[in-house]
Parts: sequence; C-alpha cells; structure tokens
Amino acid sequence: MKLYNKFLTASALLSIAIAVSSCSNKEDDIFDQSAANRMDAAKTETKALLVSAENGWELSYFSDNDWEEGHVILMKFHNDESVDMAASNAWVANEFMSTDKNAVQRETSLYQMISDDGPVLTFNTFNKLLHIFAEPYNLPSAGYNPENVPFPNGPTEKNPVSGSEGDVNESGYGHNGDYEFVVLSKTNDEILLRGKKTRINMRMRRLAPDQDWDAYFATVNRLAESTFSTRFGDLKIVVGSHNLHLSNLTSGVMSILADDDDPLMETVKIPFIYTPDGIRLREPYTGYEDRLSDIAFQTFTFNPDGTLSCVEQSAEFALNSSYAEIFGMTSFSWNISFTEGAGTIKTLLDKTVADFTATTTYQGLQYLYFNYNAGAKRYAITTRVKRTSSLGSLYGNYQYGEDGTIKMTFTGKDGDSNGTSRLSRVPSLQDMLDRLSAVTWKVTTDSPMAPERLILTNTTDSSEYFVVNLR
Amino acid sequence: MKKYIIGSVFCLALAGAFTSCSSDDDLDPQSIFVPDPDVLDPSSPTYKFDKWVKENYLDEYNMTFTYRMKSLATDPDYNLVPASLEKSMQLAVLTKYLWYDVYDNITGSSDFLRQYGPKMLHIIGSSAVNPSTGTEILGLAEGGLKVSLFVVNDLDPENAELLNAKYFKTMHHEFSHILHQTKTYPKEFDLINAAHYEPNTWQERLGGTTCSLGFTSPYASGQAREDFAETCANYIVRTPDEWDLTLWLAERGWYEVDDTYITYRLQGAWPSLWPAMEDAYMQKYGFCYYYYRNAADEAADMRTYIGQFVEREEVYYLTDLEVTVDKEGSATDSEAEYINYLFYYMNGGSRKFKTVAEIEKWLKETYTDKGIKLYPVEDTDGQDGLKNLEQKVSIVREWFSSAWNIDIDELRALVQERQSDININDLMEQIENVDTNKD
Repeated sequence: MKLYNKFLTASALLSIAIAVSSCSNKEDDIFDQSAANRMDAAKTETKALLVSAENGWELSYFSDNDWEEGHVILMKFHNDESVDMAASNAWVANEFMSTDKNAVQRETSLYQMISDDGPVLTFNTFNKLLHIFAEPYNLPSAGYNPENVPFPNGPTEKNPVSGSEGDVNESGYGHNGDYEFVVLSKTNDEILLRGKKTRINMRMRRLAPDQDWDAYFATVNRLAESTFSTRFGDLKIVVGSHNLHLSNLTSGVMSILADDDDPLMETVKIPFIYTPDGIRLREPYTGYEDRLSDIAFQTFTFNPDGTLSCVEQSAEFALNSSYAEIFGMTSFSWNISFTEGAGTIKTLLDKTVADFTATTTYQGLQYLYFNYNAGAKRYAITTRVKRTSSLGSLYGNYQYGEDGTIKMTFTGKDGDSNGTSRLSRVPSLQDMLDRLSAVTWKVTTDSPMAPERLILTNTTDSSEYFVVNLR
Repeated sequence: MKKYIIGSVFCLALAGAFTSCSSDDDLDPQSIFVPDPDVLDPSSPTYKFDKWVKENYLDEYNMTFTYRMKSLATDPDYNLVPASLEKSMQLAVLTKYLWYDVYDNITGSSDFLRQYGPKMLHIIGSSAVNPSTGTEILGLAEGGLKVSLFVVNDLDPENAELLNAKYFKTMHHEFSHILHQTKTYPKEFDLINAAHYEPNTWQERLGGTTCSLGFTSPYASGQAREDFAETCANYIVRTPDEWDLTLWLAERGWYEVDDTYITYRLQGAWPSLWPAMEDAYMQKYGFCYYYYRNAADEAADMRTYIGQFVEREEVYYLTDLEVTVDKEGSATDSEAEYINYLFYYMNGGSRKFKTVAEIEKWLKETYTDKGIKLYPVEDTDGQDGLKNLEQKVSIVREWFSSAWNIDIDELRALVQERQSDININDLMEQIENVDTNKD
C-alpha cells in the first residue's frame, strides 16, 4: 500500500510537471508563412529572377557520365513560360544535321517552376538543345556527317550500331542528363541548380546585357580548341603540398593524378566546361576517395596572359617545362614565321628569304625551321628550298638561362652538305645565324598551356623579336 | 492494480487538460494550396492549344491532356523526356479524331468515354527502353485513370503505317485494358493459347511464328491479358490488307534460323540486302517456303528457303531473300559461293511484299510459273493459328457487344475510314481556329 501511494504521488507530480511545462513554453513561429506559401513564394521569386535577365542566363550543363565534357546552354526566359535556348556542340549539330559542330543552334520551348523536390525548374516540352542528353537513345558523336548517320542505307559492317568509330553506344541509357533542376540557391547573378535525377550541381550565371550570343559561343569554342594541346604532355598544378598531374585535357574530361597515387587505379576523371572567363569542373576535385578534400577545387579563371588560376585554392596550371625548354625539346620542330617579327633579326630574316628567292638553284625558301637532327644528335636550323623540296641543315647548340631564356650557338661551320653549300650561296643566312647566336632570347607565348606559337624576344631590346610555330 | 490503472488515466487526463489550455488561433479561411488558374492566359504562346484542349478534352470528357510532362507521374527507372509542343499538338488532334470521336460516334454520345475513358493522357517524348532486354514501352494504362503515350517525338503524321503501329494501336490497346479491368472478358479467351504464353521471352519470338500459334503479335504471346488487348487493338487498327496478311501468316509453318552472324555478314558484304534485315537487332530469320535449286540439292535435301518474315516498327512484310542450307541446317566445307559458315547461298532480300496479293503474285511469277515446285514449311507447333485467331476475335466481338453494346466491326470500319484519310493540316486548323472570344 505504501508503495502504491508513493507511485500515485509520483505520477501526479509528473503529470503536473508536464502540464505546467506545456503551458508556459509557447514556441514562436519559426516561419512567418506556411510551407506551401513559402514554396509558392520561392517559385514566384525564382521565375521573376529568371525572367529578369534581359539577355538570359548561361547554364553550365553536365550529363551523368564520365566521358562527356560539359556544354554551355544559353537561355532567355520569358514571362509566358517560353524559353529561347542556344548551344553549340557536336551532339546538337548532329541533331540539326549541321556539318559544322561550332554552328550556334537555337530552339524555343516551354519551362515552368513547379513544386516537386523543393522549387524545381522544369523544361517540360522537348528542346533539342537540352533533352537529347536525357533521352534513352544512342547519340552519334563527332559532329554531323552524312557518312556517320546511323543506317542511312543500313549499318556498315565496321560499325553496325554507333555513329562513328570510337563513339560510345548508349542505347537504352542515353547520356544520363537532366532536364529538371532543383533550385539550391540564388543571388541576383547566379543560381545554383541541382539535376533532379543525377544530383549534379550546375551553375547558372546572368549574362551581361550586351553579350552577343554568337560571339559568346565563338569565344568558348575557340578556347575549347586552343587552351590545351595534346603535344606537351601532362600539365601540373601544385596545390598546397600536393603535386597534381593533369592529362587528357583536350578530351573535355580531365584525368587528375596526385603524386602518391597509383596511375592505374587512382586517377580521378572529372568532366569540365569552358566559359569565356575560365573552366569549371563538374564537381570539386577532392582526390581519390576524398583523400585530398582539404585542397578541394573546382573553378579556374583565365588571367590576361592566358594562364589559368584556381579560384578556390592558390594554384595555377603550368606546363612541366619552361617555354625555352619546350623550344629545345628534341621531338619538336619550329617553323620561323616569315611574316612576323621586328628589329635586326627580322631585317636579316627578310634578307635571307629574299636571297633564297633570288637564287635560281633554290627559287625560294619553303621553310626555315629549328629542329633536332637525331642522326647527327645536334640541334639544327634547317632550310627547305622550293625547287627541289630538299633539306639542308646547319648545326648548333642551345643553352638555357634563368627566367626562360635561351642562348643559341650557330657558327655556320658545322652542317650537312646541303646546309653548308646553301650557306656559301646565300651569305645573308650567315648574318642571320650570327645575329641568332649573338643575342640571348627570352621565350614567351600567347597560349601558355598549349604553346604551339613561341615568341623569341631580345632580352636587352624588347623591340627585336621573331616568331616560331610548332610544325 | 485496478486503481493504479485508473490513477494513471486520471493523471494523463490532467496533463492533457493543461496542455490544451492555450486556445488555437482561427484557421486561415484561405487554402494554402494555390490552384492552377482556371482562366487561361491569352498571352501564353500555348493559349490556343490550351484552350482547344480544355474545350475538347477537359470540358467534354473531364480529362486532362498533359503534354507538359510531369516526371513525378512517370517511372524514375526510365530515362524519359517530354514531347515537343508541335508533336503534342499533332497527337492531340489525332487522338481526338481517331479515338474519342470514333467512340462518341459509335456509342451516340460522349458519355461512354466520359465514364470509362482515362482521366489523364500523359504525353511522353521518348520511349521507355529497358536496356537489358531491348524492349520498349509504347503505352501504359494505370488503374484505368491514366494512359501514358510514349515516343511522341517520333510521330510523323504523313506515315499512316507508323501512326497506326506506334500510336493508335497503343491507344486502343490501353483502352481495351481499361475496359476489361472494368468488366472482365470471358475466361475462355485465356484458354485458347494457355500453353503458349512466354511472359519473359516474348520479345525473342518472330511475328510470323506467333501468328502461326494464334497471336496477333509477339507481345500478345507474353500473357493472356496482353493478348486480349492486342487482339482488340490489332483487329481495330490493322487495315484489311494488314489483317489478311496476319491471317495468312497464321496459316503457315515457319523455319527459324537464329543467327546474328548473318545480319553481320549481310551488313558488310551485301548492303543491297539491307531490307532483308532492316532491323539491326534482328536475331532470328523465319521462312515459310522452300524449294530445291537443282537435282543435286534435292538428292542431298539441301533446301533453299524463301518467304522471309520481317517486322519493322510493328509493320509486317515478307522479303524475297533466299538462303540455302544443308539438311543439318549448316554447311561445313567452303566453296566460293559460301558467304559464311552457315549458309551455302544467299540471294535477293531487297523486295518487300506487304499484302497477300503481292506475295502470291511474287510466288507465282518467280517460282511456280517457272516450274519450280514450292514446299510449304511444315507447321509443327500443333496449333491451328487461323482457327485460334478467329476464335479470339469472335470472343472480343461478343464481349464488346454484350459488355459495352458496341459493334466492334462498326467501330473498326469507322477507325479504318478515318485512318485512311488523315489530313493533319486540316485537323490542326481546329487549334488555329479555336474561338478565343468564348470562355
């Protein structure tokens, strides 16, 4: 009985405690509005923001596969739920049967802000610039070519299913792209979207009012074709204490390998996209299995000199060698430009070219170039004459200085038989060799990550320079 | 112990009383859900179309024609995309003309479809491809409420054959499902081919072979209810020529060769043979006649098979492909005329015959008139395909009549009449000329 009384008292006290606490602690509303009203407001606000960009938005679009670069789609949203799109890539060119993969294609369709997985931007009628990446069909790559169209007269034995050799056959899956996007965040100039199916985050940026769309794509396509080259090996970036090697850059899908990682197993592949101001990876690089999450990076911007600087980290893309060393790589040959240059060296070059033209034995110079003669194991300056198309080399040496300079030594006394006989018939060539050897040249370029064109400038007189192009 | 329980109840009641002491504010009289506006926006680029859809579907049948795809209403396992606005508009007028108006006409009013028709037609641009089997879904009828129509971006109003096979057959197929889910069909139907359904491997069957069993299509041979819907739909939409061909195929026996290598060789070696294996994924070749090229072939029972069945986008035809095989169905030595290890000889394959009359003319002129004796391939499936098909159609006819008071032959005749006379531009004018002054 005693136990029972104790229990009753305890329960009564507990009940009162609960009752009192529930009365005294009225919680303030966390939100002013109901969830549905807030959702509705978010949709209205987002739509207003989308429509407010008078020249539209730049969407950096990625599909969910590891072999396809990102594509920019420009979008101008109208209040009536129509949207004008423009894009320029090989897949879209195919769709429009254009043989020019850089042609800018345009199409209008509909969009809507809907309540779904939060406020969602959906493009709910078909647009060839966007929805082809979400279809379950195989898309032929490599631009439109009537020869490559699958089955114009039946498949070929060589390639019965896909559009071109090496093309990925995606039948049944497609490219795994999205056409519905959750709005993650927004500012006046940038909206962060997340693909509803792929969960890939994509950036949308307001375009400048005076940005011409065709000019935009001309710039992006030029950057995509010229920023990187397959000929200079891996690039590197140093982030913190980590050396990262970047390869396959011209494919649009970057392979990133950290110094200590295994090249076969631990290379990370990330698609990226070009915009006029830089490149951006589909997702931040965080190392293999997130080992390097402390140095995560995603975005690079172009500097005025054409180099790329990382936005999130202090790092820049760089070649593994200086431009002077690249000039001296034994696998490269460099044509001297006959039309570019200035100062004494250009005068002597012009004279040499004119003298070769005037010499009936040669009838002019086809090329004059620097190369490495593997037989003689010497650097050389080589002439190729128009009449016989034959070659003649004069040998020399290079010395690399500090700060990307090079000192050449071409005496004219050393060469193959064609080389020395041409020197005796065209004495101005000797003057040019003397000038080349007398000056220390600083080697620079306009395209720092793909230096297929080098400028050699006199270190003591910047008005004297000549230009070489990679053969 | 009893009191303890009461005490507890009392204490809890007290707690409840205190917590409920603060009074609730009045509920907002306005619903938090903002409905879609009833009034269409005249400034919208789709105003005329939306108005036409409202008048012709929503007002008439209490049904939405949802052309702005709702991904939440689709299966997320498939990669689907919306249809283009242009194709949706074409499909909207065609569906009205070839489905809704036909039933209204046959039943005398819109009440029938208002009561039994789906409440949502969901328009989807791509097909739903199952990559593991290569099968595609063309239509879905879910719970009798929603019909999804796929591959609308491929719609070509000028191509009557494909319109039938891909869209209108699908509509009638899905609607048959809705109808038989409402009033079931006689179970005798399921017994006719009860032993021949292959729910997992129907897609590997040839159309000629399934006709010979008593099915209108390979898909019909998957399961009985699909057979029922296919029988209804194919009977309604196949033209008299196409239906006659179905019955002709059902009367034959079929010799099947399963070999992807032939396709591969044909593609590389003889592009002119392309129509013979136009479907790049064709893995089976079926033939319904054979003959002997000469006495030596006959002595060795080396047969030259002809009458190759092809199904392309659900349209059936025969080609003039000839293949010669030895009595084991293979060849082991190599002479110059062999183009692969399986066949001794191949020829033709570039001509198509889509009607019984064309087939019989070709057989007569190419073979029998020249004194070549043709042997029909023996029908070994143990089924009288023609009889089975006729029995199924008879059940369908009787069911439409007794359950729905619809004469399916009358329905079929009207569908056929309209199918043969589609003018998409005239139909689209309804949208262009929609009365924008009327609410």
